[in-house]
Formats: sequence, structure tokens, C-alpha cells
Amino acid sequence: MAKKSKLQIVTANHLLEGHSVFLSDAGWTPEHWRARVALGAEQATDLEAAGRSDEDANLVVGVYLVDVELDASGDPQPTHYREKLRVRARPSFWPDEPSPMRLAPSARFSAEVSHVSL
Amino acid sequence: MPLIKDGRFTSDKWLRPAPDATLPWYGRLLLPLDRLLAEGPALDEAGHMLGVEIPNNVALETVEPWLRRLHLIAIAFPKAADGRGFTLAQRLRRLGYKGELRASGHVIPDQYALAISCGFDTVDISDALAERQPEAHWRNAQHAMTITYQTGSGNLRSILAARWAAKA
Amino acid sequence: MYRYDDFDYRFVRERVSQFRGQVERRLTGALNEEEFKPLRLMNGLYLQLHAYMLRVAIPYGTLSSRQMRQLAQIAEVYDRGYGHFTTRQNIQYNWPKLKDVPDILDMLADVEMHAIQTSGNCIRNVTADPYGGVAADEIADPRPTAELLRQWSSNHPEFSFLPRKFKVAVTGARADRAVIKFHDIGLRLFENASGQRGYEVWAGGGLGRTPMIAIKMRDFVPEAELLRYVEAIMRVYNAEGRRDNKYKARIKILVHEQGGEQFRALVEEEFYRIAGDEAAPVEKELRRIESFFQPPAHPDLPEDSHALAGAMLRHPEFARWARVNTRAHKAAGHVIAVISLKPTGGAPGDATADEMRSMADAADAFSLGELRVSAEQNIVLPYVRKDELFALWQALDAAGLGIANAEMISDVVACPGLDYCALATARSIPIAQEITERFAEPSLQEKIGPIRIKISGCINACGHHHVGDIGILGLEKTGAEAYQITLGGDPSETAAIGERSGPGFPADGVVDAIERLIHFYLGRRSDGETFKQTYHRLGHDLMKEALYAAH
Repeated sequence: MAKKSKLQIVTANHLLEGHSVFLSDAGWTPEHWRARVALGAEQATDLEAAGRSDEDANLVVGVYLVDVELDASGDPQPTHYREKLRVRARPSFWPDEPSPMRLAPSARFSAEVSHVSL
Repeated sequence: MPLIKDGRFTSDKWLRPAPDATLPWYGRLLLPLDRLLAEGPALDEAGHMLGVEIPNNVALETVEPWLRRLHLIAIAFPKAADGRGFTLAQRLRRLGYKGELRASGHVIPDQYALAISCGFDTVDISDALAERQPEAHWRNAQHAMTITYQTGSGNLRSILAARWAAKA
Repeated sequence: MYRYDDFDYRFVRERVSQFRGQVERRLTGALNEEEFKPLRLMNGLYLQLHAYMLRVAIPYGTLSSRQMRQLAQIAEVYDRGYGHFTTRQNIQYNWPKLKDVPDILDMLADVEMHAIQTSGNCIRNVTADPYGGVAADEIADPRPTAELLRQWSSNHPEFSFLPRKFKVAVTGARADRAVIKFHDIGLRLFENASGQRGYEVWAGGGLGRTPMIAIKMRDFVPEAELLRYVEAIMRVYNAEGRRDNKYKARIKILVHEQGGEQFRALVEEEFYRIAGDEAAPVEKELRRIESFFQPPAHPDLPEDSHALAGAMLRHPEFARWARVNTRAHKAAGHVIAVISLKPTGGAPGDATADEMRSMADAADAFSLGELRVSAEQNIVLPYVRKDELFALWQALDAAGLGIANAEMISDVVACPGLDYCALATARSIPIAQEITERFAEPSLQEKIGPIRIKISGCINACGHHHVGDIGILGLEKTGAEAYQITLGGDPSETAAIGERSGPGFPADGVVDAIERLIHFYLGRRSDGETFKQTYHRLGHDLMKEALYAAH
């Protein structure tokens, strides 16, 4: 029986700002559901190489592949709990929306994060 | 292969003779360690100036007998993060070695001042490295910190010495 | 506390400038990531799961109210309004941007602070007894020694590219609150029979994947020879420490592989090779540094305070806090007060900018403007008068900082874990939160008595789980988080590494297991026994069974 091909996306951190980003067809985005999905080893290698060339271009740092499965909308979602935490982009015990509850208002913190294009 | 001395790229006057090449009748010969041990006495007799390339984990006893006769010791830096060369340099200086000490390999400008403080005179890097990190980077890095806490630190001013001079 | 002179100040300013240049060269690619990484680590900057993390040094855990306010300001301007105090007496910011870090470092330099060498393969923050200078059982204040070592190790030309990180701790009291036996170098400052000041030197201790208790290197190194001896240890380590395997690169592995005898001999040999003429400035410098640590001129007070006694009678909640959160002080009529950063349901060791300012205010009003950070991720006020303790508690309580649980079961130590850390294998904070909720009831906590629960989110053991009475280690097992429990650890002078109890528990079962163990202990303990005492009396096997008993 043929082994089912793995689905993967590529992630890294934005070099200047530090937040997690994912490689999509429109460049690096914090929105993981837009990430380009690689099916099987060969596509994964290519995708990772594309990521690394942006690492060499000093846009991002710490490129690696993440295993995913497709959700009901056909969007990639990580399968491992570590990467699920990563895409959440905040500690697990924070509420889903950014809340001022425990946090003093910050002049510099914005819910928007910038896109880095190729 | 630029040689960095006093914050400037200079040319290297030392020759790394190929194993079977004819040697000039007189020269500055930079030899790998095993060749120094094998042919060193003869070459020294013949009047050559001798230098040796050593790994950063060399056993000191191997080199110690040569310290008074060597004019150059080049210590390999396989990776910038491997700091054994700094200790080796210190140990060679403490043993009384007075010749040129060279850091050879993957050394970045940010390590230049540290290397000098440990007793190095020169740094030898690849062309590829020099292209990414040109002379200006080395010159600037050398003077990024003008002050240091440790005593006996090459040409940097020690805070301890400055403090006690100020009080005197 | 220590005040920078012109030289110290110039050093940190130049260092910030240097880092600014390094960031610029990283962005142009002049420095690649492999070259930049050790440089950014040596300025305290990590890359974590969601963002960069900046670890700011709080040397030997001592800081002024002014510095605490600046930390609050940095949290607000450059981060998300809070910081985390760590098990090595530092503070961490979880959301800085690389482009802002040089500006943050400048703000730190403004108040004589920095993030130098809080990470990287170099000598890290030298930690010390948080009760240094004020503990009732103190022999000598360890902080001048820590300050001397901090300066000596800053940007050390020979020891900035070690095989691995290097951690030093100093204690000067009978009880060891600095965990010296689990450090790469641990120093116990004391006076020998001839009245000479010097150090008992320990080396090769550590936690992490392979916890080891340090070996004693020397019974006594005179003060004047300390730096020479430390230099000898560092040189042997830098030359001989393993570089082939990151997980076998700490000095504890070298000591273990060489054997204590051999390692000591190597160090002694190196020690004698180092010229003795460097000794003179050391003693002079130590005396100069000590002048900053003279005990403040405390008013002559009686040991007992009628005001305190009265307040305790009238206010039971305050009485509890006074019982639980204070420690004996060497000056009559004073106490050491612990501000717990372990509220029910909170992330251990975190403080918002407002909370930091409240603590700074409390320090100004009640503690001569000084605070300490403990290895339990709490804040300490070192100079509180008993007469003023009630007023202090009222101020803390109003700021939400009055929880009475210092060294109690809900005073949980936890690393940030997988919620923040890229190295983690499991989350630690939610487990800590659940423990504080399960055991929130104050009289239950006092009934249980002092107990150390420590949680690490991976085998690197930054939560110090090996030395908890109950240690919890978060791992991954078949695609889910699993928590292993160790029992019987001890970070103090009676150092012990906790023993594994058995298979791990799932996230929704680990706190139940601990609750079973606690109830077993309460049922079986002799009068007045602490958990630790009951554990030693009954033994590991009996205690661990309680964890797994059918429920």
C-alpha cells in the first residue's frame, strides 16, 4: 500500500521584527492558512529551499518545515501541538483576541503585523 | 587571502611551500606541524625563518621545544564560535613565545580586539570572508570597545588600571 | 548597591554602540546568521517560538527602584506591558523587535543596566543569595564578590567563545539560597579559623539533561587569589571542554569524564602558571566595591515591634502574610519581605509595568529604594522595619501583590515553557496555574507548610525541576504533552537531585496526581513535619506510590 504523502508548509521568523511568518505565494505572511502547501518530499525540498534563499537574503531567520493537514476550508493547519501553539502566536493561556486584561496599554503594540514580500 | 594587521589588509610575506616543491634558498616558511617536526631542524640549520600552522587543540609539549626558534605560529580557527585559539594564544605567550601569533580561518571582525588582547598580532582570512567583511569592518571593530575590564589586555586600556591611576 | 563609575558607564555605552553596528551588519548580510547569533546572544537576545526574547541582566539580583521603573517603562514602550523574572535573577521581555533592541539597551544603560552575556557560550549573570547583606544567618555579603566577577568576566577576551554557557553563583551565609552546588562554579564566602576571608570553591555542578552535584575544588581560596583560581578553571574548561556535542559541552561533563582528582590537578597546574602579580589590584578592587555595599545605618530598634504585633492581632489576613512572607533580618527590628509574583492562576514570575512601578514605590517607601530578585522568581524587599510592615502589606495588597505564599505550595517555580520557548517540549505555565488554583486556599497552604514545586518544560531544566521537593518535567509522548514527576530534590547546602517516580501523566492528570501525593503526606506526617521531612522518613518508594494510587 502506498505511503500517504506528507503535507507541509514552511515557517520562519521575521528577521527585524521577530514574529512567526509562513511562506505563501504572495510572500511571507503571519497568516498560516495562506501558506503554500507542499505535497511529498520533492515539493517540500523546493519549498524549504525557497525559504532558505530568503534567509540568505536577510529577510527571515530560522526556516523549517511544518507538517500540516487540510481543514474543512482546505486550509493548512499544523498537526503537532507545538506548531499549533506557534500559529496561535501567543501563549495558550491568553484569550483568543488580544485583550488589555493583564496588559498595560502599549503605545507600540499593534494587532497588525507587517507582511514581508519576496 | 588578506592578512589583517593593525586594522588594515596587508600582503603576507610568508610562504606555504607545497609538500614536494623546491624551497627558495632563503625564505619565511610556514609549515604544517608534522613537516616542522620532521624537517624543521634541517631547515633551521639552513637559515630559513620558520613558522608553523597548528590546530587549536595542539598538545603544548609538541610545540614547546620550538618556541624560541619560531617566528610565526598560526593557530587554526575552524569556526568563529570555537574559542580554543584564544586560550592557546595566551598559553603560548605565557610560555615566553615572542614571535608573531596569527589567527587563521573563520574569524570575524568582532573577535579582532579579543584576539589582540589574547596575544595575537595578525588575522588571516579567506577571500570570501574578506568580501563580506572588508577592511573598514575590521578597523571599526578594533575600536568598538576602547576600554576593557581585564588587565594585561594588549593595546586596550584596562578599567582597573585606569581606576587606580585616577586615584593616584 | 554598586554605582557605575565613568569607566563602567563608558563600557556599557560602547557595548550598545557595538551592538548597533552588529545589527546593521547583520541586516546587510555582512554578518551571516551563524556569525551574528553568538553576538546577539552575548547581548541577551534569543529567538523564541513567537518572537525575539531579550534577557536583561540584574546582577546578583539587586536592583534599585529607579531601575525597576525603567524596566516598567521598557515593558510599556517596547514590549507588551510586562516582564518575566527568572530563576537566575534576570528579567525577560518576550516581544522585543530586533530593530528596537539597541534603543532598549540604551535605555538600560541610562540606569546602569545592560543585557551583556545573559546568553551565549560565555560567563553568564553571576547570581547570589537574594538576602545578601541582610540575612540573619549571614557570614559575609556575597554581592561584592559577585560584582567583582561580573566586571572581570565582562567581554573577557579569552572566555567569550566557550564550549558552552558558564554559570557562577556566590553565597555568604550558612544556608545556601544561591544553589551553588548546581552551578558551573559555586563559591561559598566565609572566614577561616585565622579570620582570613576566602572561598570554598565548587565546580562542575549543573541541572539540564544530566544533573550533577558540584565537586569541591578547594576548601579555601584566599580572597586575593580568587580571580586567579577562577581564571585557571576557565582556561582548563575552554581548552579541554568538549566541542563535538552540544549536550556534552558543559564543564560538569568534563569534570565527570576526567574525574575529580585529575580535573583538580589540571586546574592547580594552571593556577600556578598564572603570575601572582595580578593579586594586588584584586584586593584593592574588592575593598572599593565593598564600599558600595556597606549596611545602611539602621535606626536602633528593639527586636520586637508592638505596632506589628497589634496589626497582626487586628488583621488576620495581614497576619498570615507576615507569617509566611517575611524572613529573619540581621538588624534588630527589621525583616526581609517577599513579594510573591505567584498569584492564583497567574504565570509565575510575571509582573506588569504597573506592578513593577508599585514595587518600586513600595521599595522607596519601605526598603530604602532597593529590591532583589530571588531564584524562586519572586521579588524581595531587603530593609523593612517591623513597625512599617503593615503599611507595606496594605500598599502591596492594594496593588494586587499581597498574596501570602512564599515557599508554600502555590509558590510554584516554572520556566516559560512551550508557550514562549522554542526549545520546550511541553507547556509549563498552565500546569503551574492549575496548581495555584487547586491549592489556593490559604489555610490549606499553611497546613501543608513549606514545599518547593518546580516545573520545567523540557530537559534543559530552566525551571530547576531536579531540585524541587516535587519536580515536574514536561515532555512529549506519542504526540501529546506528558509530565514526569521527580521527588526529593534539594537546591540548598543539603543538595540532592530528585528521583524519578515513574511513567508520566497527561496534562489533565498531573495535578490530580500531585493532589493525591499531598493528601497522602498530610495523612502520614508526624507532628510539625514538613513535606521534605516526611519524604525522607517514609522514603521515595512509599511516597511515589501515592502518585499512582487508584483513584
